[in-house]
Amino acid sequence: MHLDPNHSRADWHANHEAQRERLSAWLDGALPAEERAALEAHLATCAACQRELDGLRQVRALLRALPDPTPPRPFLLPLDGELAMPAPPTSHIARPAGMRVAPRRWPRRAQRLGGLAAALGLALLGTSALLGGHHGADSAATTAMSSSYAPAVGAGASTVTADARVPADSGQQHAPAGAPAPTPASRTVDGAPTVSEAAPPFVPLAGGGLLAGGLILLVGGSLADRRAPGHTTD
Amino acid sequence: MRDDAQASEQTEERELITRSQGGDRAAFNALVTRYQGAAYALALRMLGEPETAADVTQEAFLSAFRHLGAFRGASFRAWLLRIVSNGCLDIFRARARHPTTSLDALTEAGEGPPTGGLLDDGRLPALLSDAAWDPERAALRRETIASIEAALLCLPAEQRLAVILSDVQGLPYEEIARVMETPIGTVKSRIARARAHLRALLDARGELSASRERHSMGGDDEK
Repeated sequence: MHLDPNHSRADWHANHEAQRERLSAWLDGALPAEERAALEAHLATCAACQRELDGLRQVRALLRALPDPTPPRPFLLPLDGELAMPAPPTSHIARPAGMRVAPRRWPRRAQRLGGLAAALGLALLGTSALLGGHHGADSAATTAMSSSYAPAVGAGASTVTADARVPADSGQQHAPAGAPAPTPASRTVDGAPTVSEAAPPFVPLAGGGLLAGGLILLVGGSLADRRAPGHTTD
Repeated sequence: MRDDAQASEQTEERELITRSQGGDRAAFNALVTRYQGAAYALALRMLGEPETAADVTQEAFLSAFRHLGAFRGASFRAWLLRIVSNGCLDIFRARARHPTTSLDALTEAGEGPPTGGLLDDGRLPALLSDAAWDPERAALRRETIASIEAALLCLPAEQRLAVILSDVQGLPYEEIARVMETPIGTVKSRIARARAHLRALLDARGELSASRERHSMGGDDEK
């Protein structure tokens, strides 16, 4: 509802959430010019909105004042050698036996491709072990390979296109984020390389294929993963 | 002058990206150095767990390096933070599927988001008053920081992400929209809700006069 200075106080407050959104946007200098003057005129006379605005401003100030956290480890790439595969973030969660991994397009196809992906996956795991990993104790040899890498090699171009991942810029196609649960996002996150839940663990073999590992990097990179967000307008 | 400085920094970044796309890890490491603070801060504020956040950040950089060939956009920062936030959202989804297990793991590790009781019990200081600030250093007190971090973790993921990107990272709405792949209107709405939600959580004692008005202004904070 487009408001102007002639609207009554009741009009401004008819929709509390909309008014809060206007105040919040105004705070960020993101209110359209034509609405700005009207809101400022209203603010001059409305103590309730001034207090709401103050509250929003104070929360923003607190967030801005949060100190920068210190990362527990460095993130620089090693300049030589194979890139170590970090332990998938979800490895911290103990998995009950027989847990069924929820379907994700990439891992499914990787699983179907079986041998090739597994072999290449093993090679990468092997090289990671050789490099001693970058995650110390976390990087258990039995940690499952992150599925964001293996499928890039094994899946092949045909399955990527057949997958028809929603391009990242078609924001309309994302499910609304009104998730019933308090924290998880309900929309499918597409278009970006994912730090995904691991596929069922590959059993690691001793030794690695440095050559194969290098091949993965080469081939994986050249497949120019459709899942990278950059392939859409950005 | 400021625009010139920004423009040359942009050019320099373009150069680093181009070299990184060619496999130049040292060039990419310059980008890592530039953005690792923001990337890790985003992950940590989203997840509340330093080690998991570091894992997500590490994997995000690796992923970014591997997929740089596909990066075409104007903002490397937005692209990188999108990878980080996707990583965080993946974790939430995984844990939502197996909540009992996650909770056990978190309890064991001594980390994880607080239960609602922490913020409901009224023992928190009035965070929005001057007492929250350390007079010596004009910095927030440790307990205030902890309270804010805890409150953030109580927000729905999308609200949390929007307000972190806006108020902790300082991104403009347009860039947030790119990171979150949602329209700007949605970004505005989530930020407003998040701020109001945080204020309600942090205003434990209702000492602000604004809190008395809250009932007349209050709306649905979900989403």
